[in-house]
Amino acid sequence: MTTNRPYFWLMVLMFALAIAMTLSMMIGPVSISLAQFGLWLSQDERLPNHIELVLGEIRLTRTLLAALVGASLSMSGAAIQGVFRNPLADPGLIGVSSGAAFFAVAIIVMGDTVLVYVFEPLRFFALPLAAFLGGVSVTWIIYLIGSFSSGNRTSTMILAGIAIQSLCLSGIGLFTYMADDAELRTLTFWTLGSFSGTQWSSIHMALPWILVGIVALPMLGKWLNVLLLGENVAGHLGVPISLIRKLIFVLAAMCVGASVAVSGVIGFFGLVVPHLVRLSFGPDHRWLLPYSGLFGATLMLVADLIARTVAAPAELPVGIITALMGGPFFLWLIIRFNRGKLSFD
Amino acid sequence: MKALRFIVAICLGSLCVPQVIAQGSSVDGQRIITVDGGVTEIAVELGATDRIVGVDSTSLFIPEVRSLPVVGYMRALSSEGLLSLNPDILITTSDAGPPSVLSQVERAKVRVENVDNAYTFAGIQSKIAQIGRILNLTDEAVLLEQKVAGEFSKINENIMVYPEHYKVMFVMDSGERGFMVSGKGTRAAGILDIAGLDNAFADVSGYKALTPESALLANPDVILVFHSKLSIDKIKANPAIRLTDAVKHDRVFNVDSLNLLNFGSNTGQSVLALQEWLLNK
Repeated sequence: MTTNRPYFWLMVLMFALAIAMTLSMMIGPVSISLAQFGLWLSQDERLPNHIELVLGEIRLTRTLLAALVGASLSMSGAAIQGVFRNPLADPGLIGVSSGAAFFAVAIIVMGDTVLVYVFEPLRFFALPLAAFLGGVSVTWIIYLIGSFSSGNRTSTMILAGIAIQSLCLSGIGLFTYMADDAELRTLTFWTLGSFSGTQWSSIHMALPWILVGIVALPMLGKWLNVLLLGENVAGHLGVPISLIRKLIFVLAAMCVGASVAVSGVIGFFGLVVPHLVRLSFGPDHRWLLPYSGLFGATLMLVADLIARTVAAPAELPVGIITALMGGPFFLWLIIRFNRGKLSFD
Repeated sequence: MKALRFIVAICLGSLCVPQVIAQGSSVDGQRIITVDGGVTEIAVELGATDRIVGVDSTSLFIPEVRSLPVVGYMRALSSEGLLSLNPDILITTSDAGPPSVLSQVERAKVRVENVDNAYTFAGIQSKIAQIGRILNLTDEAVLLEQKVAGEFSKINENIMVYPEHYKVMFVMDSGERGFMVSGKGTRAAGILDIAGLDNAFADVSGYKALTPESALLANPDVILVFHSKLSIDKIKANPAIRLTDAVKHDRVFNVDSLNLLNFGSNTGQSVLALQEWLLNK
């Protein structure tokens, strides 16, 4: 059911995102009245200092980062699913998330022993930087393995992705075993994801990378549509397949690497959101990519809102919420719609 | 459209998320959040209970604070959650985090006080003194220090009358899968040191899962168990330790009820209770 009013739905999704951002600013453990919110918007000086800090430093950074990460994960997911022509592909499959998490965990556990000379000078930036490098380099390895194969590159890459993913996971397991009590708690941030303690520096760090991806990925939608016909057909039609694949790999790795670096691994997101969008609006990649970005940002804001209010004043890792929301909903979709709809026809 | 319905449902649903309203009374214009069981214990002991407006989950063994809002586990705090209780002071140890949350709270003009947390007698004394200063309860702190010092000299007297050098295996969560032993650097190792007991696994660091054979090889004289779901009899029946001296002399003890590992003001009493059990065996 490809939608015949694409711009209308684009506006609807933008509106939903705006509502979610407003809600995310207004609701939280610290109760803030509408009047105070108005004072903050108009930068009025009568606003109490602590309210200004909650809104401007805690909620605004969180809202922006959650929206950015939500958009980046879902858009990369949609692009990766498109390029692999496989409904089960997600950014994890090209190793970005697990690679990033593996490097981050390595820094947490080994940072004050073996790796101290590498990362001591970088201090606060060491962790996100390592996560980013880890994500991108693992993706590059998978891509290399894929390009060595003479036969079906896509399936070679998927298999290599699965193998490297489990390699990274067992590496994480090994470091978890070596970690002490304090380090273990830090590890849950990287394996479950959280926007707790987001600061402007996290946004400065992630924004350039994610922005490039969010802008560039939708432009490749047209080519992804042709790619759906199969690599051979697309090749005969003059589509530069390997260039497109390379571009999408680089963009997705940048997006997801930067996201994991600032918010940890938020599971299930890049897989489920594109499916929801595809089922609702059809598989046309020209619209699937921007829709996924907007919808992913909205959904992530809602998940984060739940994560920080439901157990207030304590807080849950947002990855738990996304998996709890996404899993059952995904199953319901599979059962309700017939199986054909989950493919790319 | 289903998509629209879904989006609206989500937006409406999120409105129903409960708002938490700050509660708790304040005396002296001071509202305190204590994070870390030992810190809370000392603050309560010093008589500051009615100033505490929130505690972390490791403080919940203390009955006086059980009805207060819980700000989560001490290493996974949330800045807005802490601020929603409108505190003046946050007292914690270096174990708390994440650091970015603590710095955000500090910028909201909350005094964040990090007290020393060495797992020794001196560490406990300095913790009491520091918390006393922060709460303006220095006289009470001196009295409490004296009380704790008295308990510790009793502990040392008990150590003198130990009939032998006890080699102790301190086990966490001894489920059916094996043993997680406490090595050096852990709170458990600190308690053993205070109680004058030798750690049978002083050469491993942190908490480590152990192969059953090495438990047999270490042959501890005493086995202390904490955070365990299994009954003592079940633990004793484990083939790995059935033949150790600890089981032979019936010296396997579940220490959960003693609250041994908080390093608050009751540590002395907890260790004394442990010694009493040991000397009566």
